[in-house]
Amino acid sequence: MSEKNTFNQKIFLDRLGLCISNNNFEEATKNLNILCLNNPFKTESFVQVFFNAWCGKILNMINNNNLNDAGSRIRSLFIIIKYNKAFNKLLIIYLDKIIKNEINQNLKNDEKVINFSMLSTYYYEIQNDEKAELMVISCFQEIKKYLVNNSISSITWILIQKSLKNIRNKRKAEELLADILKTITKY
Amino acid sequence: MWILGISKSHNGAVALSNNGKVISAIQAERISRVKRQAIKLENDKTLVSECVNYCLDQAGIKHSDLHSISICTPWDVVPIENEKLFNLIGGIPKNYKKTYYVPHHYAHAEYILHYSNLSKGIILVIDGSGTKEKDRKLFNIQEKVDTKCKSYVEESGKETISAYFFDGKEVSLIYRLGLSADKNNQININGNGFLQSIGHYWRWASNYCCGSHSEAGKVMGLAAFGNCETHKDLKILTLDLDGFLEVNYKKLNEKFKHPNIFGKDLTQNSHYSDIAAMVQKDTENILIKILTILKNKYPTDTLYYSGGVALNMVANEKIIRSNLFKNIILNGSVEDNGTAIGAALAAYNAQTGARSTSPLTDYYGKVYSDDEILKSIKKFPFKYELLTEEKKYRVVSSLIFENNVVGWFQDRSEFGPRALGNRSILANPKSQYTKYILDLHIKQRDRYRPYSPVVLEEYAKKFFDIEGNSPVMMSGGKVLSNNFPAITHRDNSARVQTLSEKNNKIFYRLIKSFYKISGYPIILNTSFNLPGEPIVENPTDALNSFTNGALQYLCIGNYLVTRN
Repeated sequence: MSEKNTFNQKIFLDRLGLCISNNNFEEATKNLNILCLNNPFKTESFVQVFFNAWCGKILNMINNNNLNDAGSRIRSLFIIIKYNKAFNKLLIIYLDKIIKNEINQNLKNDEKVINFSMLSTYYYEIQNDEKAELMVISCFQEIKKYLVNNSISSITWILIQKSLKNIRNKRKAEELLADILKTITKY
Repeated sequence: MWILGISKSHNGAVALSNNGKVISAIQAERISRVKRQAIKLENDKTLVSECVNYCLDQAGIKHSDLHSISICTPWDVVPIENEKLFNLIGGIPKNYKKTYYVPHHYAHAEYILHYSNLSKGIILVIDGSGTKEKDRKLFNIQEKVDTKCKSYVEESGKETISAYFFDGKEVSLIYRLGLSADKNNQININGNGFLQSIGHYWRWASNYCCGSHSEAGKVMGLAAFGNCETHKDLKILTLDLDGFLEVNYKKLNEKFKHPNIFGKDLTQNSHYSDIAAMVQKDTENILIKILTILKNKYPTDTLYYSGGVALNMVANEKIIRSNLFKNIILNGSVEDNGTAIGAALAAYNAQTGARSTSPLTDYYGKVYSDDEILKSIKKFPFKYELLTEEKKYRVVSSLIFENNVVGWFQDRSEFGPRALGNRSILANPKSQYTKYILDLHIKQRDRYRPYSPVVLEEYAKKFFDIEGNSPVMMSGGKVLSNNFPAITHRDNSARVQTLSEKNNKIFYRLIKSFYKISGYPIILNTSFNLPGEPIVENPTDALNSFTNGALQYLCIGNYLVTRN
């Protein structure tokens, strides 16, 4: 019998839901992987289910003031989601809470760079263009430091793409891009 | 004789022909602004009628002038009553003759045949899948089958490869693969829904490498980063001497367990790039094998090639260089959109027994007047300046030379997936920053995807190792200089558009002007669209894209639009 004949999609969807509800990102991704391998035509809809379920879980964490876990999950999703309206809404809810309550997030360096990019999205969405630009500048400064000893990674690539989108003044965005390109092409 | 062709497909399109000449055509996605918009002819009256009106407007005729409608679909064939069909297209023809139903691969064949001098040749059609075998009796345009035809089909199967022989007058089926997706079918048992199809092998790779089944173009770009030797012993795609093709999904499923479900950038990941290289190499090898078998049986110097797989310019280049054929006819709309044209032309042939021909072209869109353009521009808060024709070329070529990226909207839009200089984003191919600016800021792309050059036809061989011309960007070759990093892919190749004045006067004059300033007759040419969106169609689309995107300059007709 083939794998397809014995594959029970519902079991793995249930497992996926359980992993997300237990905040187990690694296992949830493994289950998503199995679902996509066995029903490849549904890859995009499974991924959507995965994102939506995480958004629900994270909102729950935020509502329960579990901001450390919420932040960690949001950062891991931020670097894989190119654009998702619901996720951006969630990001605003999370960062609103962090900023308004002046919560110190104690971030490591690699988390900081993601956080700056997330903040640029936050300020762009609430139309504070000046702060959005400042966050992009901070994000790019961190990236430049990283690039001294590393080649540009896929995460760095997506962070630059996502951050640049958050500068409404396109001329300014070009200037910042030109500046970081000097670093990218130098190393 | 006005005939409307409809591609009822996941890549829906409408085309209008008159006496066998293509007058206008539009992909539904350009109207709905949803990429790969389907036409279902079921509860989509607004979309269908807008597409039809678009074609009628360009031709200057009305619904009442239509004589026939010809429909092609890879889905279930459902005959439609006249009343319902006229309601869908938004008007009633006066002297209506008939509604035609055309087999999918046959429509691909009639499409590509139109762009030739009708010399004898083999027509090869390869895509994901087309007509269901069970539906054949429902067509009122039937294929003629050659007595020596080799056919591997099942009643519940779908055509995935078809070859025809054109004897200068008639088209006859000479080869077909159309196996069922039935999981009880031994060969498809581990297919997970994928068919015995080269197009579906690419779908599998697209799903596995890019997290989406419609990213075959990305897989092709990624292949240049991989090593095709890594999996050379797997033998996923095989063809026996009788032309029986097999895609071994069982081996794929056993070997590859980590799909890139989130569609992450794969530039530095050999797991995926080696798979892409394997799929590319397998495809090239099998195409040469199929064509060798066909040519041995039906000797000819001419190949007509259509279907979605024909968009693979690297494989096309291999076919060209194989010297199996002296003449290879390829055009820009070989995907399902082209079957709208093919269906209309097949109906014309069925009615009259005649065929007409055309030079290679894909400019079938509408022309927007200066007034329409100005009206649109005034709705947006941008600075604009009306330039003379000469000044337009001078100013835009200078901007590009100074490393600006410019939106370029001129004349009739392109019908197929390639922007051929009428709905394009243009940039300097020489700057080391151009690709980064496009990838990171303007097009928001993964790094492994290349950008295409357009070169003045008379200089093409000086800069590219290219066989013949490539007016619709369907083939390519190695870049012969190290000076053009923005258009040189990882393996030094480029998908080239060669441009003659006859083919596109406005675009030709722009590049000529750029050549005078820069000393090189090449510009980077990529499609004018935002990430995830279809190519812009009308002036408002272009200005919306300009508003939401990151371009600083947009030349639309003779107007230069800039940000305040």
